[in-house]
Amino acid sequence: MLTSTTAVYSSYGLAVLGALGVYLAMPGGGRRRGVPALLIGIIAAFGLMVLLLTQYAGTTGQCVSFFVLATTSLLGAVRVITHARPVYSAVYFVLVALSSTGLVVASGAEFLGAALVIVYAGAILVTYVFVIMLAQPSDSEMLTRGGPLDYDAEAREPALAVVAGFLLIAVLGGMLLGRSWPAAAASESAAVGNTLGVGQVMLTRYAVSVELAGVLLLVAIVGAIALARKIVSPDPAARPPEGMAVGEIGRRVKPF
Amino acid sequence: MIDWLKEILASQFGLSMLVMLLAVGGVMGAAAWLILFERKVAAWTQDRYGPNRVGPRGLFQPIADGLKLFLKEDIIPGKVDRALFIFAPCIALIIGMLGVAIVPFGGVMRWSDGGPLLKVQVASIDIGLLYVVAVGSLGVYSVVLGGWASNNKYATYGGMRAAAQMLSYEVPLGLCLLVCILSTGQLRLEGMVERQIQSCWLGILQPLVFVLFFTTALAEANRAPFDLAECEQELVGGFHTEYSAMKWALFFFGEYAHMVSTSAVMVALFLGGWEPIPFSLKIGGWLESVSPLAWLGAMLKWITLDPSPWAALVRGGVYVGKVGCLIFCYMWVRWTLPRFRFDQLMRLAWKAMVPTGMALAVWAGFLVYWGRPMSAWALAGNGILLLLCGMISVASGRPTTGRQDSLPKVEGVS
Amino acid sequence: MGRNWKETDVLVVDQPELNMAERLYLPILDGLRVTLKHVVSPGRRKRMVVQYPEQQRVLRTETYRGVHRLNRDEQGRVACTGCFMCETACPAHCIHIEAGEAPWPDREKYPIKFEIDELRCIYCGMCEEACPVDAIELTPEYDMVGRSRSEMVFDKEKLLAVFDATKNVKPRKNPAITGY
Repeated sequence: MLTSTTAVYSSYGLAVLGALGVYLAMPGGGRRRGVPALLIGIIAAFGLMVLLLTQYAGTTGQCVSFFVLATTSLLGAVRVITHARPVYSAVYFVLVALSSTGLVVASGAEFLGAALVIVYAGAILVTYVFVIMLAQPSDSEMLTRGGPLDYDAEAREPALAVVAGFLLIAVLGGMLLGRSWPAAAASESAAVGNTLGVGQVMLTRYAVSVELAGVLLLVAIVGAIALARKIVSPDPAARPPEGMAVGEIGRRVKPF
Repeated sequence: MIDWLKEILASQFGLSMLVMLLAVGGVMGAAAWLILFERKVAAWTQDRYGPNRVGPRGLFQPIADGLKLFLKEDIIPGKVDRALFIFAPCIALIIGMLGVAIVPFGGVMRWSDGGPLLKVQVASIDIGLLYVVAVGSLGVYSVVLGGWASNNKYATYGGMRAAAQMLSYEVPLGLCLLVCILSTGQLRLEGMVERQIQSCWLGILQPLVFVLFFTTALAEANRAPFDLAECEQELVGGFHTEYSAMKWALFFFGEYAHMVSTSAVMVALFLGGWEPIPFSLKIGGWLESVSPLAWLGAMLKWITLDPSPWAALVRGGVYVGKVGCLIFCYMWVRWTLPRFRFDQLMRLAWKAMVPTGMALAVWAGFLVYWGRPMSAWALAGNGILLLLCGMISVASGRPTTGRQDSLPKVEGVS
Repeated sequence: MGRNWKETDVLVVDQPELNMAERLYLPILDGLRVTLKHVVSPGRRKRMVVQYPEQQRVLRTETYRGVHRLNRDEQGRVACTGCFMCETACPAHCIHIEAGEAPWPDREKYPIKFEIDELRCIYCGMCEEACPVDAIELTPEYDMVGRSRSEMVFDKEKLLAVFDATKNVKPRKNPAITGY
C-alpha cells in the first residue's frame, strides 16, 4: 500500500508513459513504431493495473479477472484508434464495450453491465457499423489502391488527441488513487440486490433526471421523424408532375 | 473418486457445470436434429415423407448432412475481408447458444435430504431477463459483419436488411419483456416461473403478449415469415450469399440454437417453466380429494414442487418437452405463411407491434399499481386491447398491406 | 404483332378492403389449421408419395418421353436414312449425325455416326416428330446413369441396343417407310 501522494504521482507518470506509447502507435506519417509502442504501452498499462490493485485489494480471482479483462479492454481501445480500417475500429470498440462489461459485472454491478451491452454494443455501435459500412469505399477499391484511404491511414491530430485523452485518464486516475472511497456503499446496495437498488434510486432520488432523459430522447425521435418525413428530390425535373402518380395509369377495377 | 465427484456435484457450482454440459451438448445436438425435424415438418405439411433413407425413418440424416458439410470445399472468395468473414458465423452460433445460460430447467433440488437446495440452471443472475436482451442485441453483428465482409453488394444489403429488422423487432420484444417483468415483479427467470406456479401462466393471462413475443422471436431469429435475410428467390439471398460449407452451416446452427434458447426463455416467461399443466397445484390438490385419481394429484404436486433429483429430472423433461412444442410451432408457422415484404415487415413492427406493446405495458403497469398484476383483469385487458386495435385499424381505413398510399392520386380515374 | 396496347388497358386493381379479423392477422390461424391437418394425416402422404426405387409408377409407354432409341427395320438394319431432320429440329442441339452412302439399295444414305448427348437433351420429342421414317423414338426408360459426361453421349450402337431392349415394351410405331 503506497501513500496516496506517491500513488497519484506514479499514476501521472504512467499516464505520460501511456500517452507516449499510444502516440507512437497512431497510424500515419513516419511516426508509427509498432514494437516500442507496444512495449511502452504494456509497461504503462501493467504499472497502472498493479497500482490500482495495490490500492484496492481484492481476492485472487478478482485480480485475475481484472487483469484479463482490463488488458483486453486496453488493447481493444488502442486498436480502436490505431486501426487503419474503420469497420475494424468499430468491432474493436465492441470488444472494449464487452470487456468493460466484464469488469463492471465482476465488481458486482450487473445492471450497469447489462445496460452497457444493450446500449453500447447492442445499439450505438450497431449504428456506427451501419454508417461506416455505408460510407466506406468497397474493399476492391481499396485493393486497387493498395491500402487504406488517406484519411483512414493518417491520424489527423495525434498529439493533441493523445494529450487530451491522457489528461483525462490522469485526472480520473489521480481522483481514484488520491482518495479513499467508503466501502459502505457496496455493502448497502448488495443487501437489497444491485438491480433493485438501482431501480429504487432511479425512480426516487433521480426520477426527474430519468424523466428528463426520456423527454430528450422523445424530442430526438420526433426531430428525426420530422427530418426523415420530408421527401426531397435533389433534382426538381426528376420529380413526378403534379397529379401524376407512379404506377397508377389506366382503369381502376375492383379486387377479385 | 466417487466421493470427490459427489462433493463437487453437491455444490451449486458443480450442478451448474453439469447443467451447462448437458445444455451445450443438448443445444448442439438439437440444432443438428432440428434441421432434420424441420425438413420432416416441411415434408408433412406438403404431404411428403421427408428424409427417410439414412437410418430408421431418416434419423441419421444429420450425421450424413454434417459429414457432407465438413467435407465440402469451404470457399473463401478472393476479395472478402477474411478475418470478419470467418468471425461472423462464429458470433451467430455463440450468441445463439448464450441465451440458454439462465434457463431454469428444473427448479430447485437437493441431492439428499438435508443437503443444500440447488438451482437446476447454469447461472441464476440478478439481472435475469436483461441478460437475454443484452445477448440478443449482439446477434446483429453476425449478419452485419458477415454481409459486409462478403464484399458483395447483395450480401451487404442483405446484412443491412436483417440488421434493420432485428433492431426494429427488439423494441416490441423489450416491451413484451417489460410486461412480464411488471406482472411477475421478477427479473430472474426461476422467480417468474415460481410466480406463475403460484397463480397462473402468463401465456394464459396475457395471450396477446405471448403472441407478440412469439412473433418478435420469429423476427429476431430471421425465420419465416420474417426470413428476408435469406430469401434466395427474390432478394439474392442475404448476408450468407458468399458463404459455403461449414461456415454457412454455422449460421444455420446459430439460427437453430437461437430458436432453442428463445423457446426456452418463452417457456419460462409464458408457459410456466417446468410446471406440467397450468394450475397444477390447485388441480393436484383437488385431484387428491378424488379417491381414484389421488395418485395423479400427488404426482402433479410431486413434479411441480418436490426437491428430489428424480423430480428435478422430470421437471427438466417437462421443460424440454415444452421447448420442443414451441419449436414445432416455429416450424409450423414457417411452412404455413409466405414471407412479408420488407416494408410490410417494418410497418408491422413500428406501426402495429410497438403501439400495442406500449399499451400492454401501460396496462400491466396499471395492474401493478392496482395491486393485482396476475389476475384475470390482465386477460380482460388483452381482449379489450385486441378489439381496440382492430377497431382503430378498421377506422383508419388504411390498407395494412400493399402499395404506398403517400403517392398523389391520379386525376380523372375512377 | 400483338394488340396495340394503350395506357387505358392497364388495369389498376384496388386493394381489397380488409375486415377487422383480417386486419388483426386472424386468418393466419386458418392457414395454421390447414397445415396442421396435413401434418397429422399420414394417410394422405402415403397416398401421395411414390417411394421411388421400391415403388415405381406405371408409365404410359406410348407417350412417355425417356431415352431415345434408333429403330431397326425388319431386316435388323438401322432404320435411319441420315436425313438430318432430327438434328435440325432439335432445340437443344444434342444430336450429331454423320451420314454416308448406304450399302443397301433401298436408300441413298445411312448414318455412319449417330450420337445423342443425353445430358443436353431436354426430352421434348421434336426429333421423333421430325423423323420422316420414324427411325428415332423416345422410350419410357428414364433411369439411366453414367459415371462421366462422355458416357452419357449415346452412340449408334447404344441407341440401337436401347431399341432391342425396349421393342417388347413399346413396339415400333409404324412399319418402316422405305422407297420414298
